Amino acid sequence: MNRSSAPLTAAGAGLLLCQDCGLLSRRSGVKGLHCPRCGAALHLRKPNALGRTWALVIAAIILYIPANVLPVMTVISLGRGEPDTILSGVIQLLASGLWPLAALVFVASILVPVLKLGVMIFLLISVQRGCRWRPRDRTRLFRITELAGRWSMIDIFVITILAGLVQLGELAHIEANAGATAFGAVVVLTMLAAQAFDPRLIWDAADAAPK
Amino acid sequence: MNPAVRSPATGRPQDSIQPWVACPDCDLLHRRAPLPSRGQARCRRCGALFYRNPSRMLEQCLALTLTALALFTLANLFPLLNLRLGGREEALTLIEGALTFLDQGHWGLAGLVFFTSLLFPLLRLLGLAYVLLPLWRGRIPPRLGPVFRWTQAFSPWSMAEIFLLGGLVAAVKLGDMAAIIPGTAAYAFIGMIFINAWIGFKLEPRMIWDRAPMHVA
Ligand SMILES: [Zn+2]
Ligand SMILES: [Zn+2]
Repeated sequence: MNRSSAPLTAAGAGLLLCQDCGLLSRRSGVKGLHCPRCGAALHLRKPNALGRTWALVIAAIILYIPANVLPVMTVISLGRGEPDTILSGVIQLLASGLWPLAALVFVASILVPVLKLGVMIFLLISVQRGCRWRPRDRTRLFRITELAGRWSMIDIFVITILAGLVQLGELAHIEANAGATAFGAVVVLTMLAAQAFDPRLIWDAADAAPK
Repeated sequence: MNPAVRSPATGRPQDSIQPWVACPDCDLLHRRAPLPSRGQARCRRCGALFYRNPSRMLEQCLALTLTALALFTLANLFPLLNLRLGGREEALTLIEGALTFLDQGHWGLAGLVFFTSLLFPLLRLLGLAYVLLPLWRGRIPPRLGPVFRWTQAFSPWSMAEIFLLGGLVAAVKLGDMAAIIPGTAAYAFIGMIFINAWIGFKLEPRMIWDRAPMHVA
């Protein structure tokens, strides 16, 4: 590959970009370098980005199963308990004719986590295989995924406020179940996975000379 | 090389690298160019937003931050949701709503809700006030760099707007069992969320970073 045609990147120019404040520093070869302006650790690329992202994605996939199979809450009224999973909560909303809310909870709690994990796995594999296919679109996909993930938290908030209100009116008693903790962990893990991933790896693969 | 670019802390030249910016998403180097008012610079390779040039950024963001803090205080002083059932009326405050599961022993769940719906939004606003107030008066607050770095790091984890939407879903779900009436805190909380979004739209971090000193040459 003609060297002069390679785009000039910070790494190529021997510069380190601070991911927190955007300052460029010269690479001195010293390990454990910190940004002189904001104090963040400086790395050419996020350290062990692929390994850490894989670990967080796999942990999220494992927890996604109990998060959906186990009940997230049990409504206990008149001594009778009625366990609810995330999906049964959506179905209840649908049965009450509240389809906009049902759609909201379905997208945020079921669709977004699955899509997010799918996209992260696709990006990880494409980077590992040195894929040169449409880096700009893959970067955009990553940005959308990073932004959308936090909205999955809505179900945790619904359960919390529902329990608070029900307790208040002594209508019933709402007990949180293991499914809710697992689901909260899935949301946190997928957010951390997106933060651990480094989109510049997509471009490193695209810039590399073909094998 | 621009000889005017010097480290504010040491007075030593920051060499020739400061007129350059690197794309956080694809690492491509660009020469930094002055922007027209309300203009924005994007990476020519991947389209990432580099910086904008919002007019009167500091004073407007400061005004918005202080308003949001006042509304946040109100949201914590008054009832969030009132529940009317038969002849009774009960009130749920924001902090009670966030900590419901603490007495059930679900401290992980309660902590997650408390941090994302209350603590991180508050820390983000306090961090912004700490940075913006002195800068607006032409001073540099101590440890500006690290404080602003943490303030920015809280941003994806502060989920007040999602909490509010969750509250709406919960209120509608209970609608056929009892009357749920939004309290004063609900309106204050909604106002704070709109102002938070406005801050997110107006804030240009690079304008703050440009004023931060270098501690290590
Ligand atoms: Zn930095
Ligand atoms: Zn770029």
